[in-house]
Amino acid sequence: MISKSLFINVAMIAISIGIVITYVEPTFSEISKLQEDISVYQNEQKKVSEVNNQLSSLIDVLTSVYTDDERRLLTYMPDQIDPIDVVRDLSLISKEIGLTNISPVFEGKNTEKNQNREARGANTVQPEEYRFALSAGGTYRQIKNLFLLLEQNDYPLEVQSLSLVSEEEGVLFFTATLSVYTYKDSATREEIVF
Amino acid sequence: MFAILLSAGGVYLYQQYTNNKLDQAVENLNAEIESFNQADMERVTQFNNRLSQAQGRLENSISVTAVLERLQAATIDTVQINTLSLMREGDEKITIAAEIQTDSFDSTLFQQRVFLIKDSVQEFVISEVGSTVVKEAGQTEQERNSRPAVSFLTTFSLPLEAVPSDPQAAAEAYVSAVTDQDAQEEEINEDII
Repeated sequence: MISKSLFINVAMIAISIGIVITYVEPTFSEISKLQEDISVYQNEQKKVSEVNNQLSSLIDVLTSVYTDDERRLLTYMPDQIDPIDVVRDLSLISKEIGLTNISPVFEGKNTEKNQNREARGANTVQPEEYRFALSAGGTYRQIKNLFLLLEQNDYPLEVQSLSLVSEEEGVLFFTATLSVYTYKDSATREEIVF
Repeated sequence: MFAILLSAGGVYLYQQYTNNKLDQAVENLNAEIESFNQADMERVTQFNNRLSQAQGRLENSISVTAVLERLQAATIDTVQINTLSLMREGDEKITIAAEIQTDSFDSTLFQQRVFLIKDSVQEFVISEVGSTVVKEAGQTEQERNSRPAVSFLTTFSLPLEAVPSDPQAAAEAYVSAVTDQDAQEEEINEDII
């Protein structure tokens, strides 16, 4: 006959094993999973914190840019252009040189070249390009001076093509195609996903 | 049995502690995400893009005056350029085509050699070489016929890096050119007086 104390001992061992199997072991697994989750959240928090710190330092850099420099950048790469302003500038520059038969014309936006540049794998989004034609007559020296002035302009007046023809003794006639650029917003509106 | 109950209690308490820790980690992450300023990010990105686009154009800007001066330097005295066209091909190169007139075939050959020794000249081609007459205003038919000439077309390209734009140098060159012009005009005026 099994004694009472032995029965109690066996029962207690059985209950203990039951507690370990049904509670302690699954709880340990759960704790281990929780710790992994904590580690993931902490890592993500670290990454977000790094981004925030970086952003904060970039904002500091941005605010340290002189207003004058920022204005120059906005002039060089404006959000938009007024074709009449550019035509007027081309006309004034040509007149200052003393050219004759000055004819500046706005030709429109050039989309083809931008696409080609982007297709070639350029890293950044290419700016919008607008084309202007300028034709006039003058001496070789005057034409050279015109291009010296165009080169110093506050915004780029990029020569795409130039055709020079000798009209009469000492006088040349030229036709040039010039490009003016405006800033093209990239996909900055994309949602930032962490 | 008592030890098992004690350890089960300990496990329970540790689980609660870990749960709290997880909640705290989630709260911290959310707080960090909320502190992110989308408007600042857009401001920085936009400034950076604008700067990159401006830099791209600046790096690829060329000086037409430098092209003309190079051509001038590479043209021998007996050569006359009748027409000149310049075409920019993207951000890679400039293609130049010129209709040239010389006084003899020897000059044509010499001009060809001069062009070829220029380091930056690429894809140099001479075509349509032929005899012609010198076209100068105020010449009689007899004078023209007595001065036979050779004309040819030439095309070549220059990489953009060979003729970079330098606004500072352009400003100095312009001032110098205008000063020279004024001096010459003054000299002419003095002669007239």
